[in-house]
Amino acid sequence: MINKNLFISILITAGLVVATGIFAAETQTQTPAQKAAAAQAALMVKQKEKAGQEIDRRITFLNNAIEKINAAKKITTEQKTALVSQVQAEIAALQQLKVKINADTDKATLLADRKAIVQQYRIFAVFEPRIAIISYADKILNIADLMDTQTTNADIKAKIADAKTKAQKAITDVLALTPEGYPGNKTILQASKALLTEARKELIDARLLMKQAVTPPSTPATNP
Amino acid sequence: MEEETNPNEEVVVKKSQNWLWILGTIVAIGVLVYFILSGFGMFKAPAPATNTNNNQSEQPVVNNTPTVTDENIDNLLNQLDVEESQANTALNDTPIDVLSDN
Repeated sequence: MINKNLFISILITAGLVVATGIFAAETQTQTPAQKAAAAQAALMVKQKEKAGQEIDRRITFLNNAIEKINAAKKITTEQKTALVSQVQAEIAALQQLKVKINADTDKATLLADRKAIVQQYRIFAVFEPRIAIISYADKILNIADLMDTQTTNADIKAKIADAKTKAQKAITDVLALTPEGYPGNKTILQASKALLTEARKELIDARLLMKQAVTPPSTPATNP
Repeated sequence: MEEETNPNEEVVVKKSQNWLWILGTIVAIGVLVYFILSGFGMFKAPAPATNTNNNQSEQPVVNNTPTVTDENIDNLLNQLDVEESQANTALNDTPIDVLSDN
């Protein structure tokens, strides 16, 4: 009986020793090199996750951009096709980059790929202003065409024609831009936007003249 | 005079002691199994699903197809304010620093 009790005691003690060993293994002190490697691996996971989010954000923007381009009325079919092709190519390239980033195993390659998200594709630096300017110019041209049909006044027509010329130039100029031309092409983007601001002002002035033309002289014109 | 012990009573006492040891062993093994399974993460609560898409800023889709009539020229001109604002934002947008680790 004593042997049996002894055996059971040894069994329980062994169990406790093994359990303690498991916990000890979990909390085992790592060497500095192991700690550094673990920290590096965790950092890379975090960096990949963030890079993936940034790529997704750009792809979402580009998909919305395709809708805007297709909705534009005053750019030619060829211009639309070319622009949509560019955007689709960017989406495909970003998707490939995302796959590559997820497969990266060393930090230097990962860093280069993370930089490429911004420096190679320039989605928010070039594509976003381009699309915004094209959309803006398209609306100016639509309104200008509508206003042009509503007046025979030469001064008003001249303002409308000037607005259309500026909007058209803005479209032509930004369509020619490429991500590779950044940051040099930022000047063109800003100049194009300034053209649209002027065109908008000319349309507002033309609208005022149109209202004055149909308003009795004693009644002051109202600002639209 | 030596008191005689009943052999049957002795057996009963030993049996009850055996049950205590067996019970202790079962508890110890149970604890052991628990620790082992804990080591493999069997008792961890499932990690909540994370939304990896939460940092995305949706770009507003502008209605590009208004019905153009004589009456809404003023409204269309007013809409150009939005376009002006969006163009300004696009030109001056400071993108999130992709290279920061925060």
